[in-house]
Amino acid sequence: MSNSQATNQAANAGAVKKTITREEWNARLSEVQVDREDLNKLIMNYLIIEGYKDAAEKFSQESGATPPVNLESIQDRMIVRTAIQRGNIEEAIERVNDLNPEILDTNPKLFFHLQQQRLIEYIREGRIMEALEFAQEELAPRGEENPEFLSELERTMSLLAFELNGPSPVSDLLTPAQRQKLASELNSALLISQSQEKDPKLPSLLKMCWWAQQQLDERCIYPKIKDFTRAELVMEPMGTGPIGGGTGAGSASSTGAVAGGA
Amino acid sequence: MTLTPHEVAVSQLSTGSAGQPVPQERIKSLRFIKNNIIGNKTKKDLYIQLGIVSRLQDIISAKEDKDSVLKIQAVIVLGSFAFGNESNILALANSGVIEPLLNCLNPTADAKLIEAASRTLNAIYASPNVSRQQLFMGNHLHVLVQLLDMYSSNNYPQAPDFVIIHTPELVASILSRCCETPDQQMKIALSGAIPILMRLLATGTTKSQEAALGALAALVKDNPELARRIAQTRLEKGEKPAPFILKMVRDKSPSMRLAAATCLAYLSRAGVIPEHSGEIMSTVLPILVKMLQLTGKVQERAPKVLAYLIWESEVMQKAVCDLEAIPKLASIISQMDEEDSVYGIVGQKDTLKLNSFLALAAISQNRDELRKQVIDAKVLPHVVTAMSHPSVGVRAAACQCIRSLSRSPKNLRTSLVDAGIEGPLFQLLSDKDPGVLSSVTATLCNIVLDVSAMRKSIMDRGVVAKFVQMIGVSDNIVRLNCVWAIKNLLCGADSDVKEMVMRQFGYHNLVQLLNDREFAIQEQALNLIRNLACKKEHDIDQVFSGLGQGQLLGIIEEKLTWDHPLLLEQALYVLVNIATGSEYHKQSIMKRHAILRSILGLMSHGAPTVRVAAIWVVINLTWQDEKTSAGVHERVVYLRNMGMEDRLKIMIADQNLDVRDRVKTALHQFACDQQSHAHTALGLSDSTSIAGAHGRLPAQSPHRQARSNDPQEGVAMVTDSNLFSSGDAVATDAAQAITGSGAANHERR
Repeated sequence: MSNSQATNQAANAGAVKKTITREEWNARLSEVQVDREDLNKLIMNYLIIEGYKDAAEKFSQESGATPPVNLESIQDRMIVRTAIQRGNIEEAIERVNDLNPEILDTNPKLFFHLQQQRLIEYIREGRIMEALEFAQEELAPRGEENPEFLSELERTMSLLAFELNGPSPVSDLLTPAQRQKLASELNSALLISQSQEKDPKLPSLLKMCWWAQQQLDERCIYPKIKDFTRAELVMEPMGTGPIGGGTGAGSASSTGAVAGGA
Repeated sequence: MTLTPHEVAVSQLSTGSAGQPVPQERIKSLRFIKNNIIGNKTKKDLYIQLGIVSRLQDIISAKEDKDSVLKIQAVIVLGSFAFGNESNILALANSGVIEPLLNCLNPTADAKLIEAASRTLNAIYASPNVSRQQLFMGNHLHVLVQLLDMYSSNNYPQAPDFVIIHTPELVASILSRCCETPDQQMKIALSGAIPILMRLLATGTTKSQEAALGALAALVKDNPELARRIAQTRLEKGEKPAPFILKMVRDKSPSMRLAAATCLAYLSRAGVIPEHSGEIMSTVLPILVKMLQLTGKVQERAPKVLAYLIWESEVMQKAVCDLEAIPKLASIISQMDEEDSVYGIVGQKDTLKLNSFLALAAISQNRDELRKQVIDAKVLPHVVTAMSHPSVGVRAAACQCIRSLSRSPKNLRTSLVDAGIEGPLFQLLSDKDPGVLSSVTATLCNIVLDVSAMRKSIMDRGVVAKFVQMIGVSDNIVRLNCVWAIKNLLCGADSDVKEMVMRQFGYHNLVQLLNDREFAIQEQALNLIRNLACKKEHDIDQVFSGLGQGQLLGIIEEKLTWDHPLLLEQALYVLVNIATGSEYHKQSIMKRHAILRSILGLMSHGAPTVRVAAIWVVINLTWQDEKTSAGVHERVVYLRNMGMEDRLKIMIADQNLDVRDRVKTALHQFACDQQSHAHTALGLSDSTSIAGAHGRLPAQSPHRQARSNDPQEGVAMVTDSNLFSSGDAVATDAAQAITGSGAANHERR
């Protein structure tokens, strides 16, 4: 990536960057027809996948956009997610099994991660005997069935060797991020089983927008979005670009200046 | 002794009796059991041992509909058992749960029960060993097909969303799993499933689109008639399905891409979408090859679809190779062997291994340069190891690989010898599995050719005795392959080898095969005689004394009255070879007026190959040289009087080039006789005048050309593993197909 950028910059270094004025840009923007309905769908898609049930309901009422799925299914997913975040893995498992009994029977890896988290929670609560029993009865057979789980199981078991709150090479297992990761994995599995996208479209569109601006930056000066949360069009101050035939180095330093100015 | 919680839960299932309100404890126990066994294979086994299945069966068979909550939980528990291993599924099927589960699909039942029962049935039918019979009895199929339409029909207004989303998907999947035989395919098509599946394909949720693709693929597979019908059906907006599916092959989801590619592969092989062959090459092939680098089910199945798609297509085989499929497959296989040795567990990824071998077998099927690439990728040691793999499918697929590679004479002398395939191959002749046996016997057809360096050593191991034994007891494909192999063994063999083989085989067995119930076997048996009678007069004498001259010619006479081109061709070539023999041999044919009349008739047969063979008999009977010139004039006159020369003159305008060439030679013989006879009258003998003509033809053939050579063709494929066993036994070199060459006595190349 950075290599090809450098090459591009070098190649373009000799060329004069074109400047597009704010007026021109706005005129071009207004030529693009964006269907309001498509935008609403995009937002609805985001709210549903990320599990914002109330917001989705409100948005539906205000915009008139009909949600493509029953909003109750969002609720179900959110109950599962919060159960995991609270460390109540058993409840999450029961919920998932009620929603679709096939998911955990056909995703051994996900099931293993849930059981692993149960083990982590036992250890966190200091229920060592139960932890050992659980590991032996529930996790060891899964490791036998799928040898690729063994190293993760070993890592989890080594939690027992360290102080809970002290520094240890496996302390990451006890962080909220670990629960968060599992919650997302489970959420994705539920979405897939319901024939839904597991990733919302909006973030990838934003990434595409960012990438497109990167490409444009090498070729012209134009009003760009610098802060995606505000989406204001900001015009670069004139003269920072390599106007009048900058060198490769000049071009690189101009990028630096932009970054500095942001 | 105290009971475990699991034993308590099972015992509580039978405490309720009919008429009581729904006992909450039973539901609670079922939920407890459900949450214990889901994802946990050990617990599934435990509960099955506790005898839970029959209790669950009682619950789901109960007549009254009030307790659907209980029934639903019981059905789900059964489903979870089915997600365990194969023996769990068979335990369920054997205890008779399928019928009550099918009854749960009744349209008047609780929609949630319908969804749960669909899921459980789908999981049970994942096993190919469960009988599909019940599904096709009574009203079940009709009910199922209606469920496919749950989206668009208004029959289930009360059904919760998840039911409407999942049921059609599950039902489409059930249909795809119960659509393996032509009979099942027809019944499902007749039930009206196709238009509903098309609707699901166009408008369903992504998962039901995928399932619809699966069901359509199952209907199309190896069924050109249904393939044509489906390719011509229009989607709701008037679009044809193929272009629509071509779009899905680029879907984000790998499993959707695979489902679409599979469907297209079947349609393409059925030959019903020739207008898309360019896109199949440019789009579908690269997508399938890329899947080799994914993981899970998609990676596992992709090589099988690939193998199916490129089967017998040199262009596609080459294209796949250009996409670097060979090193990718080789690395999958070697990596798996490494993992197996690390974990000491064989069988983790059998299917991936099996399918990868199939793909390599398909790639190296037709072109020598691709065989070389497969060998250069160093897969042979893995193939040889896999020939003694515990899984039958893997053994058969490995054998299939060897079979493709053994189609190169060079490999038969070098790489395959060095890899030591001979011992494992011979071992496999004692395998129990019909799929393996059919693969190994087909492979041996090549190993015993006289171009092979392994011919003698495998004979020394006693391969002939093994073939003879298997001809007596095996299924038709294996019997055919064994006769074929003996025939190949005799091709170009010395007289003493021929005699040794026939001592073991026995002429009485040969006579039986000449009257076998399978035409393909009769054809090979005739071909075998053709090879026996080839080359030396002594060889013909041996056949005459072995079979009895009268019996042999009687059999040939009878075969010439069948209208079966392949049989006719071989019977004629037996005569062609006898006619290369001594004056006595030639006369033995001339004395059979019925045979001569048949030959005259067959000179105008519809199949050019038969016409060519018939003319060859005439050429050899009228052949002139010092040794045989004694009776030739007599024979020419006799045949001329029968009208042979006149018939040949008409055939000079035959549409077939090969026939026209033979006709010229034959007419030349007749003309020469006239000329030389005139010369003799003048005191001039000119036997060299025919030197420029085509030589006569002692025709032996270890095989014929191209696809007609296929030992399995025309025999119904039974199991999946047999699918890829078709293809010719040998294709070592086309010039060996004697029929077209006309030159005498080819040396093997």
